Amino acid sequence: MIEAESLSLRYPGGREALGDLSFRIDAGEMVFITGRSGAGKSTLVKLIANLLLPSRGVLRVLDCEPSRLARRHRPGLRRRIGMVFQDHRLLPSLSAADNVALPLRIQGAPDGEIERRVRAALDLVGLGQRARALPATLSGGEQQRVGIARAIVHRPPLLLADEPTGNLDPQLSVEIMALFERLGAHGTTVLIASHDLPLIRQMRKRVLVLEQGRLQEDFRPQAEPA
Amino acid sequence: MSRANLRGESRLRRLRWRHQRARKDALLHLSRQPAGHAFALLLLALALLALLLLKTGIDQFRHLGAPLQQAHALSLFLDESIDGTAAAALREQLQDDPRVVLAQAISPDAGLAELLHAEGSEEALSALPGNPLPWVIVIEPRDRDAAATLARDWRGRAQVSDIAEESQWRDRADAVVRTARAVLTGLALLVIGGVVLLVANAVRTIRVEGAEERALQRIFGASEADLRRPYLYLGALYGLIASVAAVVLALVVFLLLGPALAELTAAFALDPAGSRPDWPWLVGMIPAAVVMGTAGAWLACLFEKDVEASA
Repeated sequence: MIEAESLSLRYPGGREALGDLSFRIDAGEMVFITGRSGAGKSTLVKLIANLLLPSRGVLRVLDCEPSRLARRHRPGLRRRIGMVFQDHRLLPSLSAADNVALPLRIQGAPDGEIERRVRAALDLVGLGQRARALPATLSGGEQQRVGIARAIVHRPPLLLADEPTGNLDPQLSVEIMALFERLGAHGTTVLIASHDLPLIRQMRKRVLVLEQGRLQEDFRPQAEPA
Repeated sequence: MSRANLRGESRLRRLRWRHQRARKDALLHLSRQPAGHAFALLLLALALLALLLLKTGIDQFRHLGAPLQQAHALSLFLDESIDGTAAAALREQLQDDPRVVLAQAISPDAGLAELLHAEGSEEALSALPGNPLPWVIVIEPRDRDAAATLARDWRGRAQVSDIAEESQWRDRADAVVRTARAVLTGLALLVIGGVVLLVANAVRTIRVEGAEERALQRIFGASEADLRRPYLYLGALYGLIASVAAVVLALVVFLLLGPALAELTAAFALDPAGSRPDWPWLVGMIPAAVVMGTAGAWLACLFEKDVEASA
């Protein structure tokens, strides 16, 4: 599903954002990437999302090697990936339903298909009744759930989330994580960049720890003794 | 949710849906700020109207220039000693020359009669004791080069006292006509460039508002062609609406100025069609403007950051 071998990224100014990363994530896994601010979590997510290209090393995502893909084929790979952002990035002039429909419109889905899938995605995140609402009238948690519905509406095999609970209270964060866990149970690979350590510990999933762009640890927290 | 995806749909069908959606988006853009678009469209329509009028001007200059291209007549004034028989023999000799289209002999009497018809010369001619005019052979050469070589060959011969070349002033007039046509053609090209840039600027202004949306669309896998498509349709719509408005304006212009233009064309022996609407051109302007609008929109879409920069 995702495979990195000696993966490095150096910005044009010369600063190394990621260095010599090697890991493998299998299909259906739910994995957290954590580390301090500036450790390279978001950069790694952007690399996997095919929004940046590595300077060195090999990265394989969904059986493709983005750096070997012709420029015109890169959007095709992005269409198979769902993205959730910390700041939701909802379009303010569009309703929740229209925001969720965005990936399907990009794929050229017919209107009937879009309507059906958007309704299903909003129901899944518990916002079926708020389909016509504009983002400004939704709470932070609701906006994040709309963002998640948008990321899963086209049923991508890979879901990437960059600090998805960064602006949410602990209760909402747990609900959002439960939602990701449900998606994982349906076979979607979920990769979450987060610095919320208590939440990560609570989820007991595999964790990649980054430190100054390098992989420090790759472990799965054990269940805490009762 | 099931894992079924959209890859089952045929590529052609998906492309058709994308085009349909792009057309809808283009119409949506137009409906958002109708007043702003109306001004831009009016400006475009006026530019296209100017293009139509320039085309009429170019046609008229072409019509004016056509006879000048052909007329390079030579007049051979024969020696006083040449009588009618010798003049006829010379005319035949010239007519047989492959460089000559037509050779006509004009007798002194016919020449005098022609002069008497000319305004203001009757008094002066009637004062003369007799007819001082010689036999004249008027030659219509095949082309300009033929005129020059004929004049060179016949100048200095004993039978010919003088040769009048009518081509010089015609060459000058021809040059003026050609320059005017070139200027009008240049202006027409500038107007076409202006139309393309007007559309480019209008589309660029609209695109500024949608930058965030496009950045997001790129992240979710929209290709540059997907992002460009609605704006190309918008440019085409601009061209379509503005050209229809320009055609209507042109018809109004011809309706109002038709009689005056007809008089003008008659007075200058211009093409009478110039005072009437040129329907093939009016109709042809519409697809041409659609192409210009699309080109302008394409230009506006050329310079945008790629996804790496917007991520």
